[in-house]
Amino acid sequence: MDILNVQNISIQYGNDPPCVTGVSFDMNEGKIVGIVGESGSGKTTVVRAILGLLPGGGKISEGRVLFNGEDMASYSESRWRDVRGSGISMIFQDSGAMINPIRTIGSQYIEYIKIHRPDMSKADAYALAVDTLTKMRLPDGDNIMKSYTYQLSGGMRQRVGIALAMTFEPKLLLADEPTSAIDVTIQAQIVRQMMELRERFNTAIVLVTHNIGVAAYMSDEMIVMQYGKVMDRGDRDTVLNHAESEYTRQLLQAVPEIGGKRYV
Amino acid sequence: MDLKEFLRRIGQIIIVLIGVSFFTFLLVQLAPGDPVMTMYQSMGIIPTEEVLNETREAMGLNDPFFVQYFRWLANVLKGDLGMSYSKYRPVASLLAGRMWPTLKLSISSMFVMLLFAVPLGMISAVYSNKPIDYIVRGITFFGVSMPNFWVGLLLLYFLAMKLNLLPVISTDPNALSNLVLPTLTLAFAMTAKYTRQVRTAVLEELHKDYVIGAKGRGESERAILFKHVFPNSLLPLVTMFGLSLGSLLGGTSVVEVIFTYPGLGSLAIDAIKAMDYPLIQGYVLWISLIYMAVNLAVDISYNFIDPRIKGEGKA
Amino acid sequence: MNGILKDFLKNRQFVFFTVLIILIVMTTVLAPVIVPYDPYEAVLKDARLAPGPDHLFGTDKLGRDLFSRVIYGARVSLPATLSLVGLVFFVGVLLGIISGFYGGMVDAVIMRLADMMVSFPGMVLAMAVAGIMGASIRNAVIAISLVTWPKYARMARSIVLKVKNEDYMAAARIVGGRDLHIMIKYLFPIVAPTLVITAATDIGGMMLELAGLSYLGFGAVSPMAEWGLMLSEGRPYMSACPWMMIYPGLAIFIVVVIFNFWGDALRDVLDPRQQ
Repeated sequence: MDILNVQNISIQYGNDPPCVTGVSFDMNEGKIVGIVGESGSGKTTVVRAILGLLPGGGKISEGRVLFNGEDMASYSESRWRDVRGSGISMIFQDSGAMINPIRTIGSQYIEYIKIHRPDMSKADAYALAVDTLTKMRLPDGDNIMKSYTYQLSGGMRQRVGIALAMTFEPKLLLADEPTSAIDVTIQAQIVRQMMELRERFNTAIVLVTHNIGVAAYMSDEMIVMQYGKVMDRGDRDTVLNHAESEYTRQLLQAVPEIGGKRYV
Repeated sequence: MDLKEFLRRIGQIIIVLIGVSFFTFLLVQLAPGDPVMTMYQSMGIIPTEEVLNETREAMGLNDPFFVQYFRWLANVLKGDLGMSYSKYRPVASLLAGRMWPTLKLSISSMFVMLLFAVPLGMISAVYSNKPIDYIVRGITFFGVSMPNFWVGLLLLYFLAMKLNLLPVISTDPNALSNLVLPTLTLAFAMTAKYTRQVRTAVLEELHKDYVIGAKGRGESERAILFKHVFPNSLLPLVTMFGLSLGSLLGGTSVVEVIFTYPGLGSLAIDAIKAMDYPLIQGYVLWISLIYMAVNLAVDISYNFIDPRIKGEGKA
Repeated sequence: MNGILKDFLKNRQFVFFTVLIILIVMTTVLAPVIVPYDPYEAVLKDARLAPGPDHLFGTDKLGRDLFSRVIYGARVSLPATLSLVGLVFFVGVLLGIISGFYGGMVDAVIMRLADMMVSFPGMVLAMAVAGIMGASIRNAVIAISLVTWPKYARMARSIVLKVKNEDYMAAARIVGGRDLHIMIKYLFPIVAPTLVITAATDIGGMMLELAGLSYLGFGAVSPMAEWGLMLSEGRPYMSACPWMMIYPGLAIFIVVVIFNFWGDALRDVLDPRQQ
């Protein structure tokens, strides 16, 4: 059974015309799907909609999203909370900004663990957090737990975000522009780290990025979006070599060394 | 705030205090009316020109402006604010005597304000553009448009005179009931103002990324509001609370006059009406000092309540 | 230009409150025609009459008709408040633009002066200034201007600093624009909208402050028909004659509410981003 089925969804804010239409894809274990597009293409809206995180008045107006075969539209509030951060996790462009700046990372990390493991003691939660941080190549876990986000570098913040997301080894990771806000050198490390997640935990990843190079490097399947519509979709090689839309071909031309080694 | 910044602020306060005292001194010199004449009149004496001149000489009022100013300044540095013309008592002890009632009133009205403004502002923001928000905003809009002396008189009329809930004039100067009407009057206007501020701050905080982050980690709406959004949104308001407290501590003339409350504000009115220059100067100096000290304290407090300040050194 | 006018007319709140303000202004201008009695004529035998058919709002301690006095009150408050707002706007914008434009010493002096003014509670200084200069509406206006201009100057200055180094400013200078010309022709139009909005939303608050000074005896002087002063004169009689404090207060309240709503609507029209 697939982990996630996105079936022909449209997304709408209030009574405005839909800003995204006709997006479909399926996820199974270890699969990476890259959604590529410029800002305003609706790619971020799609992943946020999957996790029910659209701001004020945004909703899926058509189509369905199935998680483990179950229609997410039928979820209760508490079922949603169980899934978020445990069954499906999300990492963001700047994961540091997704953490309250005036509380320590540790206090929020423990709070998060205790939402999903209410019976776990504080000490165990702390140990789990430090352990996860270590796994995500953040060896100095104790120090990070004491820190505030502003005290960490961009790359470290992003790793903390990945660690948070991977705490419960979710089956599905939604990555929203995970490499766009950090230095080029560190981008490569983060990309490699996400690839490792698939190898070690068999995590399925939906990767949203404007960087078609990154998407091409990581994805099994690609979806190219523009103005809320799907321009191209298919497995990576089809999209890269036999793109149907003029838009996709233009995007590809803009990447200097798409045939060479450096994708990132 | 590090030590260097702290010392810089202290220096700034001293400069402002000198500036303020110089300004009031100048104002007093330019003022129409003769303080010596006023002083004798308040004692019920009509002095001769000769007596007036002698007194002026004795008080040093015939000296050049700068001589007078620096003499006053030197005395202030020795802790001597001079004698009040109209009350025949040292200015310092007059001010000190009004401190406690003013402090009581300031704290109680801030407290009542917070009690109403914080929850109302939060509710208004969380349900923004829903009926409850319109009601709260409507009320606050009318609230800020009401003159506080009118609110005070209405409260006095209805609560004390019509419903007899409180004494109109208290026989016991220390009775707690003396505090009720002035507190309510002051809190009324402040509540209207702060409810709007709290609402704006919470709305801004609700749109921060970390709210989505917390939601994405499975936190409930409730937890997000109470553990993240509300505490964070009060942070920037602390400065404003400090400014308000600072001004309250300087005395609340209008309210004190309405309720004949013995605070610094009514002392100031008496001083100004009696042209009691030493008292006016002492008062202005004192409240400037308090106001700036409270603001400095607020800025220092950010070192403890906002972890981001500490690391950045000079913000 | 037409577009802006349309925006104004489309905002119903703005149109509604503009109409109300026109009504207030008309009442002020036409007061002598409207009032049934001479607001300054004491008729001692009619002192302290309760509201009734002859005297809509009752009479005060000297038997003067309260309705007539309340209407006449607008003739004091409105011009005083508007000149206060105008004065603060003028001084604030002038000093703010000069400060931002020249920088250096000029800027330092003006801004330190402004800092000093806001480093203690404004109402206290206003009281002291008004009290020492002697009670009068004019002095009250001066006193409040003295403590309010820094707010406007700081806003104007910060806007000027933002645009000062833009290319078109340099261009204006290269073509030989004199300082005064640049300040009036280029800087003022940029600074004006924000400060006009601020001034409009401040009208209500300034009216309250003026009335407050009068209430304390640092503004209008007896027998002037001024709302704050009327309230303070009615205070000793309020237990038996509550109308003496209810109606003048109501008048301030209503006028201030209208100006506040109007200012709010004006801001919505001119600056939709604020929403």
